[in-house]
Amino acid sequence: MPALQSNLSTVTLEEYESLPENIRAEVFDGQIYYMEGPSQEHQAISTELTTILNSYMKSKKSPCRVFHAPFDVKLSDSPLTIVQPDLMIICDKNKLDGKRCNGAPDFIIEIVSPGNPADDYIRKLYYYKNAGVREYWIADPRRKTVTVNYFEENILNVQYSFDSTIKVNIFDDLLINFSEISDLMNFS
Amino acid sequence: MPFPQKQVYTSKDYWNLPEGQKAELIDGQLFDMAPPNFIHQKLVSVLHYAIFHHIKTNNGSCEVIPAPFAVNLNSDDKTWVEPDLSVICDRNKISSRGCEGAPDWIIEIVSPGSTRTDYLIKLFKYRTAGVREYWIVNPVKRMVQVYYFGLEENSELFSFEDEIPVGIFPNLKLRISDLL
Repeated sequence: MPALQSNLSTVTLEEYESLPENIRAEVFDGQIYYMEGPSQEHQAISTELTTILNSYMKSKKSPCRVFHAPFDVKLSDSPLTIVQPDLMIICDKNKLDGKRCNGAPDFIIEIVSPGNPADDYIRKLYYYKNAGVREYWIADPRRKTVTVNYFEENILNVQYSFDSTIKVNIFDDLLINFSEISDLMNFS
Repeated sequence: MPFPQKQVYTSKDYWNLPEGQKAELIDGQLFDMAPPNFIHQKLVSVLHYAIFHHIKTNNGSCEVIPAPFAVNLNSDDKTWVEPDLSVICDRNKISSRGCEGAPDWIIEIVSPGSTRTDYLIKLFKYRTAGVREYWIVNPVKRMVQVYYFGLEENSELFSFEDEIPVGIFPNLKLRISDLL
């Protein structure tokens, strides 16, 4: 099922910020969409990817910073669009105001949850591309695929399997080995 | 491909295009539509026939209309598309100038001039507008990308040789190679 949508009235930034702490939601053009909590598998993949990205940034002494959900990214003020990507890399620290990222991250990875694949593949693809995200990956543990969209070069929908090592296009030598990550997914 | 962006276009521009010039209006951008080639028209023709025949023999009330046919996707006069084939089951949406609101099923035949970004935009707009099913038919690759937007959202890639189940008509399956 697609992510649950509330009634059709639009939500303001103040209303979004006064949602209870435990409610996870995103806003697209003023429409609020509530999110389910992440699964164990989702968390395992996210933790591993955060570690890999973080290690790389540190080793390069890169000014880019790695964040993971929940962290608000405001892509547009009016109409209001605020997302909480699973993983992101933000290189322009002027976008960070202590509360959220204002503007498009350079790189985003979403880990598909069973409930809402089309939201990642269709809705977010559209919004991220429009907002100026440079590169967007969709990791799908169900289909065991990673879909790479390198917006900067107009490259869309390049699919890899979960046993691939994939180069991040916007960095010179950052490679992510998904077979190591998928090994972690074999819980008993 | 989009027109050169000197301004934001409106429905007035869409309805006042010079004679013979065809375009779609999405988010204030006009997207040029090249004249279709033979295989494009043949696909529209055979698909129209197959769907029309199915509706007729089942005494259905849905309409299946080929381009040129103006669809005001969100009934807001801001987005006007011209799908190659539109299946509309709610007769109230059909006005003299076209369709007001989302068709149930849209089929588009890939033409050389359209880009992947064009389809990304359409995919998002159609899903958001409430289209229930969307087929992208590629005559060069002989493949069909099918999106089911209903309660059970799914997307599948078929070849022209596959029997493709129609989501909105449970008794209808189409094998494009048989139709051509």
